[in-house]
Amino acid sequence: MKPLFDSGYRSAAVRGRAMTAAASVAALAAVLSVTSVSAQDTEKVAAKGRVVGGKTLLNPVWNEAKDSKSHRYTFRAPSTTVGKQAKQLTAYLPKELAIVVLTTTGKASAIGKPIQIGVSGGRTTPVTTVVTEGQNIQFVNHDPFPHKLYDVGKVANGLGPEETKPSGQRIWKPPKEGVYEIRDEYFPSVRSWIVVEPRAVTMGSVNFKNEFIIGDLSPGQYELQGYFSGKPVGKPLKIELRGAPEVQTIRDPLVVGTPKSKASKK
Amino acid sequence: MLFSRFWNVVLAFSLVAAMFLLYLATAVSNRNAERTAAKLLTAASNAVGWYMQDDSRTRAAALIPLALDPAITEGLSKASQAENLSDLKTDLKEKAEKALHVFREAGVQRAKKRRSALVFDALWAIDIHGRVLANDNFAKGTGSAEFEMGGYSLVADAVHGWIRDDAWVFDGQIWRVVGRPVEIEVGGTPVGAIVGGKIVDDHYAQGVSARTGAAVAFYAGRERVASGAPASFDKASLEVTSGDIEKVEGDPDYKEKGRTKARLLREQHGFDVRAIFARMPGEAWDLGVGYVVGHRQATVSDPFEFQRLANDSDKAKVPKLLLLATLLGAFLIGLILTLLEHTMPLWKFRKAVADLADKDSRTDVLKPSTFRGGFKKIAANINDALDKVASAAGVDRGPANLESVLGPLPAEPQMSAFALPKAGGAAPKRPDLPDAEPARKRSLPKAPEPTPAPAAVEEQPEPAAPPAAKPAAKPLPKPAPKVVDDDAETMMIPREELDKAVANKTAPAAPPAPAAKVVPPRRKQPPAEPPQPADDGADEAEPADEETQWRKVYADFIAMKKQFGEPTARLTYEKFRGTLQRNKEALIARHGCTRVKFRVYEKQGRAALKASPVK
Repeated sequence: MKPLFDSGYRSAAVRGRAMTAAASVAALAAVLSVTSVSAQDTEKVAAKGRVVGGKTLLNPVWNEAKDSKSHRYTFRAPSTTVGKQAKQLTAYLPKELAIVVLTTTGKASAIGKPIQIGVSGGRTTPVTTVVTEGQNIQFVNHDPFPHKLYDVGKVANGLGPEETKPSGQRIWKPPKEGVYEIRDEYFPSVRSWIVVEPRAVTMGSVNFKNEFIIGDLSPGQYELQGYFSGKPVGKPLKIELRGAPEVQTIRDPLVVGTPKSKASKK
Repeated sequence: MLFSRFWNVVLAFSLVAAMFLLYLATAVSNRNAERTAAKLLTAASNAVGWYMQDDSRTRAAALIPLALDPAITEGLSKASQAENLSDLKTDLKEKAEKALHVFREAGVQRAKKRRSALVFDALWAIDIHGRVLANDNFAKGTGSAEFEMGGYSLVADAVHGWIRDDAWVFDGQIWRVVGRPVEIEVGGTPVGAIVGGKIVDDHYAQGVSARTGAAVAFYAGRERVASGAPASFDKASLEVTSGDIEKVEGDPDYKEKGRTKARLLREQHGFDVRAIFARMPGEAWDLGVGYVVGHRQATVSDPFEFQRLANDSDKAKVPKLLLLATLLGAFLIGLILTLLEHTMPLWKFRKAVADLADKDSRTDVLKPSTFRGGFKKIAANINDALDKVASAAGVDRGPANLESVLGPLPAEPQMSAFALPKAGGAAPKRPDLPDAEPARKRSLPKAPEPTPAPAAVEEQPEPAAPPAAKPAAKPLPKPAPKVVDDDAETMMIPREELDKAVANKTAPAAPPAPAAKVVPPRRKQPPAEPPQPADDGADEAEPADEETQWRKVYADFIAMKKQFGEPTARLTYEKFRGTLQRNKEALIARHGCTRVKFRVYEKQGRAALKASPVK
């Protein structure tokens, strides 16, 4: 199982170090230990922060599926033993929200390794992936049955419908800047987005508590932006990373959504 | 035969009407059967849909014990709090798997005893993050640490406190799945969900069919994956091809409403398989998955098919007495009409001919006017034949002259129509015959006609007159009591000329020469013929005025034509007079007579005119 608190890129600096708030110290130690392994990257640091407003984000697939006109069920009834608050369908942020680090100067460069996107359980992980131009993407099928992913726009050199066997994989490089919506001919619930943003340096995701750590960053000024369902959400957050410490906490939260009540007041 | 023919027309129309009604009944029957099939199919398709919904609800309710199982609740609670499932104690997963297995096996065992018991083909215990804590009967290929099920809307709904169903397609296999939340405490937040799945296979389809009475087949990937039908329905008839699905996918109702109208699926001998295609709700909706319900609709290709389709009950409802009465009535009517119009006239004719043939009978001719239809013509022909035979035997059966009607005339009447002298002299007497025994006889010797009608006279060339004397050399046993002048020269005016005069108003009449065609001697008409216009005294005496005579002849001719039902409207006196004038001139030129007498007589049921030269 992929760690829930993870950088989408699985960089060497912060590879797979998810943490909860209770285990943040351990996670930080892990980051530091990885960092110590790669002595030549001593300048690389990690940014730690949190997001707010995530509960305003709704998964479009689930949101459509609950509509009776979408013919997704013959019956759908609330459980009487579940609280009303819990019945509100919200997005599952650890997989659906992408925290993207954007450079403020020029374009970012692609990394050598392909970015992995897992396919399983009716969705991809992550659901929204933001990469820079020229970045390869690798789809890996973790289900015991085949998938057939394709890009909806059917652009030139796009992701054509091609079956991926169980445990199989396929690599694709988005041809140009833009947003690519990916779907699965075999599973209508699979709906993912790949955003090619030239300024995207790297991206990460949040844990259960909406916290994130994004590593493998050089000191400097960046801009954090939340991406959800292929679109930037909330407000960008400008940060400045210094040479030390290794993990630098961002004081201000990254706003990814505005509650309806506040939005209506504004 | 008019009514017989009319009856035949009635029968023909009745037959055509019956055939028309039968074909109409065929069309109506097929249309009604089609409409009934559509209603049945709609009901069956709805029933299948309702059954699946009810089955899903029942299955969701059946998962309640599992959702309350401590092994499940505890396992899911801890899994939802764990960063990685691998961090969980293995016994939690094992306990959860065991609980799932026990639950599912219990259902299987119940199903062995009770067919209606619910059986799940797979069960999953899924935590709040969509990760699969445990599953039963679905372990193959799920060993990846990345395997999860949180993306499905059913799972998302279940972990958010909703109970619902869905239809998934795993590798071409349809799964009917239900999910419900698992809670630790009432009113709290779910810690996970329980999902149960049932494969749509032939067993499932047969269960659907048994409970709905419908013949149903499920298809996915444009292929039939399962089917179930009552014993009376051949499941092979519900074979669904990719071509069928392709057509269905173009149906607007199918795309928008998820269900087609009743449509023809297969045509087979004697029946059609009509079907309604419906999409299956769930994720399968967008994957071309659905079900089709079929109905065998008997078709009637032609009216004779009713015989094949009818059973004893149908046959018992046929009003046999009415049919029998109709048959007898039609037969009797035909029989009566045939008797009246065929048998009786034939019988009458046969009797008349027998009388004619009877040696003891005085009848020597048939009376065509007493017969009807074709017998009239036959009688006339027979008379002509008799004349011909008699003529060949030397007996003149020609028509009677005026003398035969009015009695003996003076030997040398000035106006005798039958004493036309040879050119330049008086009428010659036949030296070979006594005066009291004229050579020519107008009737057969055996049966002298009591009241011979005025006979038609034909023109005879002068040298041809002697043949009439031949019979005199062979007197018949019963000589006719009346004799006529053997030198009589008459000419029948061809009917064609008269008709032509009627038809052609402007064109000049044909030259008289053809009218003077020589014809063999004619017989005398029977006395029962329609009354001939009697020759008035003017014919025998010196005519005061030829114009007056011709007008009378014209009036007689018109009267006789009317009597025989012939048209007279277009025959004017002027045209008539022209005809007489031409014939008169022809006779005068030929015989050198002073005048020509015209008389009207009936020939074979029609008015005719004869011309007699008068010296």
